[in-house]
Amino acid sequence: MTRLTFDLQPGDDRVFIDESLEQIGRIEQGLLDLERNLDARVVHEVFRAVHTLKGSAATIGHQRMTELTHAMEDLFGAFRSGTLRDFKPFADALLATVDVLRTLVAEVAAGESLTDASDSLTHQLRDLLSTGTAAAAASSKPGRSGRTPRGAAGHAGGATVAGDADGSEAESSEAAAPEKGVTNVAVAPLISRLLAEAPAGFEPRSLLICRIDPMSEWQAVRMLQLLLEVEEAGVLISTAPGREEIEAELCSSLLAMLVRGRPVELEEMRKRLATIDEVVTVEIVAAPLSGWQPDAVPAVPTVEVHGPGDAAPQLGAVRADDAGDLGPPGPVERRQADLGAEVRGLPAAERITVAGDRLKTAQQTIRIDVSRLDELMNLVGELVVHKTRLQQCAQMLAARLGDDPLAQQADEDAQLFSRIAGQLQDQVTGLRMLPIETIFNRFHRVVRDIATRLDKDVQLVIEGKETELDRSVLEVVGDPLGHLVRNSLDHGIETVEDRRAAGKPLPATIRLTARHADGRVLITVEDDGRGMDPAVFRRAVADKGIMSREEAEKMSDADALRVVFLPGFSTSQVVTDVSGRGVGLDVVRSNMERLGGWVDLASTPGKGTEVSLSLPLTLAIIGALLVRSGARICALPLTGVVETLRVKPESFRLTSGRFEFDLRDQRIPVAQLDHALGDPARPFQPNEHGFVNLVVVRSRGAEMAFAVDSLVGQREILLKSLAGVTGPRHGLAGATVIADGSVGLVVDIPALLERSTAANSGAPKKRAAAPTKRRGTRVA
Amino acid sequence: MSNGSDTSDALQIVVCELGDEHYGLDIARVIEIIRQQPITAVPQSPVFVKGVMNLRGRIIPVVDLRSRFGMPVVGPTKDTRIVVADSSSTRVGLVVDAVSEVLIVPAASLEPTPNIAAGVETEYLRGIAKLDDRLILLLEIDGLFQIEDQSPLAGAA
Repeated sequence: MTRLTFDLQPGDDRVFIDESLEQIGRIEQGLLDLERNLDARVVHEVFRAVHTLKGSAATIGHQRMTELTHAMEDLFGAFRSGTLRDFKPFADALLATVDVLRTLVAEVAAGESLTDASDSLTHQLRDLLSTGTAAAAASSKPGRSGRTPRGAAGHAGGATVAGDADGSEAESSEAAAPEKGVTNVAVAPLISRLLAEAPAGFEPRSLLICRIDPMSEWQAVRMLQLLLEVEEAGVLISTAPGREEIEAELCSSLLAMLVRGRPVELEEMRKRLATIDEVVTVEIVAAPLSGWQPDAVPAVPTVEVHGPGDAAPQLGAVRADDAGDLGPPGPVERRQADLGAEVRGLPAAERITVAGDRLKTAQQTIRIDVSRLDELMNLVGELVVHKTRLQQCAQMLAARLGDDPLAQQADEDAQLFSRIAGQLQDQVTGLRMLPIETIFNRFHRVVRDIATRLDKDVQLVIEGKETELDRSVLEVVGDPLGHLVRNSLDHGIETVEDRRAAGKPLPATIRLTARHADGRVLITVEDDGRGMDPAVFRRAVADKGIMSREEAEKMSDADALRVVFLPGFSTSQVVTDVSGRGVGLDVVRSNMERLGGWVDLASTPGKGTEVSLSLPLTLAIIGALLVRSGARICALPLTGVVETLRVKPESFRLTSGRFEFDLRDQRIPVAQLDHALGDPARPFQPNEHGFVNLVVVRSRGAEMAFAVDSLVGQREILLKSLAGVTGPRHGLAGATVIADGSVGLVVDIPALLERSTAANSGAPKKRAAAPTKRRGTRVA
Repeated sequence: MSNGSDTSDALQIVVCELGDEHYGLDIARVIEIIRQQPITAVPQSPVFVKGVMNLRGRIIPVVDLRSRFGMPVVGPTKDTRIVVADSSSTRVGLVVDAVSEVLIVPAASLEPTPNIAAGVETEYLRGIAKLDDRLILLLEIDGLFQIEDQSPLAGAA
């Protein structure tokens, strides 16, 4: 493959790649939407995204990407103008284009050519466009935009976009010199040109004067964004510089647009425009009703590099002549500062300038390398751990020195430090939170592609996509989810005929939902397919020799279905033949467990299957109750701790192989914590007063008490993975470094509870749908 | 260090002692050698995993090489050391009776592992170094730390 070089500063490639992938994602989503419903708004959105992408590609000199996006843009131009009305024949080619675009973007990182499909796709899109428009022209009278089929593109970026709303701007740029060149244009000449060229009219008109960050690498792109936004609102009359000039990057940081409407009516739009990235100011000025006399602006006070003077109306000429000797635009700041003065010099009736715009109210974002964010999180974690130590030091100091001012000072400082550390932690944790949307959205495509291939009719419904997750969780949840969605498509959902025969609705539904529950995130993948039959699984485990036939029969239906999570079970020919289910579900389960999550499954034959994943919100810092159990310290995450109690062991009753005790009106199972975790059983260890320390925990409505040797206290802990240690470890979420530098084990309460109750047979004790009220955690 | 030094083919090893045996670890894999640390036992671990320890904020598993090789486990002495080394998947601590020296083993002294080697399964061995009258078993760290996942129904959800 050939080496490629791009016109990029070191470090800018990241920006290009990120922004491009964002646009491509937007395009892909739009295509999928359009396939269902040809919505004009979505067409606009996609067009805009394609256009931006094209601009970016052209800017860095990615020739093949520019051409491909160009062809795509033309095609969407035809949809915009209404020349093309049927989207379906184009969907496959366009989605294939999206894939190739991703590869083309990857080339920027790789520095070499990774695909040779782009040229043929470009041609394919062009062919599709011309056959499509020809067919459309044949069926109706040929429209204006039928002119679109293009020859070889003469100069990069010289797009003729089908369906430009207004013809005036096309003419306005006839004079534009086709060569590329950096030019600096003052606002006054722009306006004179606009008004001189604009058809006279009596409707109220305004001037929109937009200034883009002069340091921006993407001026042309931003201008097009502005242009499209205004165009979409249907008020654009003409612009300077014209669209063609912008596309050829013959523009500077100023864009003037003549629009319909009074300034006050345009205020909303102004706000919208001001939110576009790198747009520094947007001003609205009322335009005079009729033609414009260039010499009516005799003394525009401006420090433009090239004075506006009398040459102003001949903008194109000025640029062509002066481009060469402009040199570096020296007084950029001054020009910016004087922009207001220039505008003031206009014979404008009214003028709206919002000073705040100059500070750019729009969200300012920077992209940060994820690894730096992780490192930051690590440091904050260490800080939080040491915060606790510092507080302990201050307390010890107070105990030793009493009222000594030094001790008081230490105490105050420790508290202040603790507050700041806490805020820092909140901020950093917040930085890492992202909506699950980013993961969910990719499944539109997965569902569409697989369903098409399997000839099934499936719709994907997404709920709760705004649910936020720490990115550490987010990045690992994608694969398991993909697995589950594919499983549903492959094995859960029936063919169209089968569904018809069964009288089930078409299309079939796969529902992805996410929500927060009990300090965790609950994600479900639900289908209304054929479901799973527990009887089949009972037979399968027995046939496979995993359990005896008797044991298998004794399993509850829910437990029988859960055998799909057994390692190795999935590959079993038996199951694959009988139900086709269970492919790789053990992988899903072990992935979830590594994260301190769990996976569960419920299914009704004929009705469908629901797989739910429960995950912690963050994998980093958690509040925990530290306890001593046997030879070690264990940390119980506070999210699962209900209360702590002291109980005499005499009140424990041995019922069918396990201890229970009565807590108010409930009967709660009890176990030694270390035994529950897998250590050998040992007798309860009452303290000198004859009491056993119990920690009552709760998960998914079930409660249980763990006996511990002593309570150490409540701490914030930095959760560290035990993943590299050895194999899966049920009931442990990880480990943490405790104050004395040794390692404590972090208990995964849901998993441990499940394990303990399952081990003792019988269903976990379900609390009758009582609201999750905490009974006050009494912790030393 | 008997024969000359053809360092290009030579292997530099950290020599550890377990009972009367000498074992060698490729020095490129060894990060540091530290004294006995507090180790937290982890339930459900293979028996030779003593537990985990805190290595400057990083939690690493600690393997007792004696129990790994089926030798009787003895309490720590003043010579007991933990060799912190990198396997291909993770950083581990290896508990040994003592660390005696660092040696350069010329390629000529290296021999492939015989089929039956002193009760140690051969996948943990990458060869034997014969130096003068000494035999040093060269350990393959990755093989040492390969733990079969032997949890059938036990953890079924």
